[in-house]
Amino acid sequence: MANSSTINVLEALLFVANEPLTAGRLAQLTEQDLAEVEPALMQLEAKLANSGLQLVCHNGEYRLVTAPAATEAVRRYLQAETRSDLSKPALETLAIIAYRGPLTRTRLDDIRGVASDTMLRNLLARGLITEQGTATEPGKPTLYAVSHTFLNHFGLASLKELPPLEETV
Amino acid sequence: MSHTVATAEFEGPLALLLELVERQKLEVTDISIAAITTGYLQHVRTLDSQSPEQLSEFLQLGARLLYVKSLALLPKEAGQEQAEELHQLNLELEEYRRYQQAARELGRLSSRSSWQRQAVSRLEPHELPLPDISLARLAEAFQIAIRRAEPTRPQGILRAHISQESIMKSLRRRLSHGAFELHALLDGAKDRLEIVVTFLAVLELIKLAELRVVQSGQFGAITMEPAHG
Repeated sequence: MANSSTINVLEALLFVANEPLTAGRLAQLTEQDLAEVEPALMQLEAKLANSGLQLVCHNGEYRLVTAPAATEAVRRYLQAETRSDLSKPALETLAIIAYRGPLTRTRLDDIRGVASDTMLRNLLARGLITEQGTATEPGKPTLYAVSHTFLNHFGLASLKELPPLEETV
Repeated sequence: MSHTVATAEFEGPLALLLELVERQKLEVTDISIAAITTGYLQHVRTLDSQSPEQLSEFLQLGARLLYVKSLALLPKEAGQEQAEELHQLNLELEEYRRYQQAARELGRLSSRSSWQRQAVSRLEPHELPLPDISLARLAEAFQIAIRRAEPTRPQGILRAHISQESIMKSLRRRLSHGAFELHALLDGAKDRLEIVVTFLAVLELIKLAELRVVQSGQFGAITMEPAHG
């Protein structure tokens, strides 16, 4: 059981941070061991489960964001436009990158059966995906993965919250 | 049975093939490959040939379908290859179908959204509080400001307080001690109104020939002296 004051300090740090923080950075800031911070983060997540905020973890980076239950009210406050829905091909591309990423454009093209470069460019421009290193195969093609913005967009706390992929029949 | 899928716009060849397979409630097996290939090619014929890139994607899969179909016409040895090709096609189609389904699920999540704080997490240098400002010094500064502000009273009283008469009186008193500079006169003013009234008083005294204004040169100091000194 992590020290409850550690949990509170982590909460405070993530509250003021407007960038994702790694567990390592949080350990540094709280002057705690990583071995102490990691369980504390899990407890913070549990503590927030019934609140207006949620702890998001993506690629080992943590953020505090508003909970999906508050979506409409926060949207009104921010006067954020009800977003224009993503097109079917855009959703399809995103789904593949979310479930299978990081992956190369070639692999994406194979799965979709169409060239995806335009789609990739659009999604990159909208910040929903990011370039995440290169594959080891010849030519070192760029790998694509979904971003923090993607998780925000769908109100997901992590990729584990993606709806389960249908089993192969 | 009609194989035409006339209206729908397909994102790609796999989307079209999947639609055909699902619509006909068929598996991509050697029994139905002929029917599916026919339907597929019929649709490809309706595609806009203005977009050769898109067309080539459709044709590529079309060629594959034809190849698998043709294997069925060949003697037994080709049977194994056909089974493999069909299996591969089925795998690809199945994978695509799963992601298409996942995309629909994802689309349903679109009404949810999270936001992160937009606040600035680090203060810019100019926003940092000044060093060694204690609460006591802040209180002191406040007191001084209050004292300075005290002369400001409601306008009605102010007018009665700073009358041209009283300023003229004090000017006469100062003139009796000799000349003085305009600056010295105005520096003592508490507000704009007092400055304005002081000027009026000066003009009045000039008119009454009690005061004379002298300037030593351009931009030089302006001196007030008794007119009959």
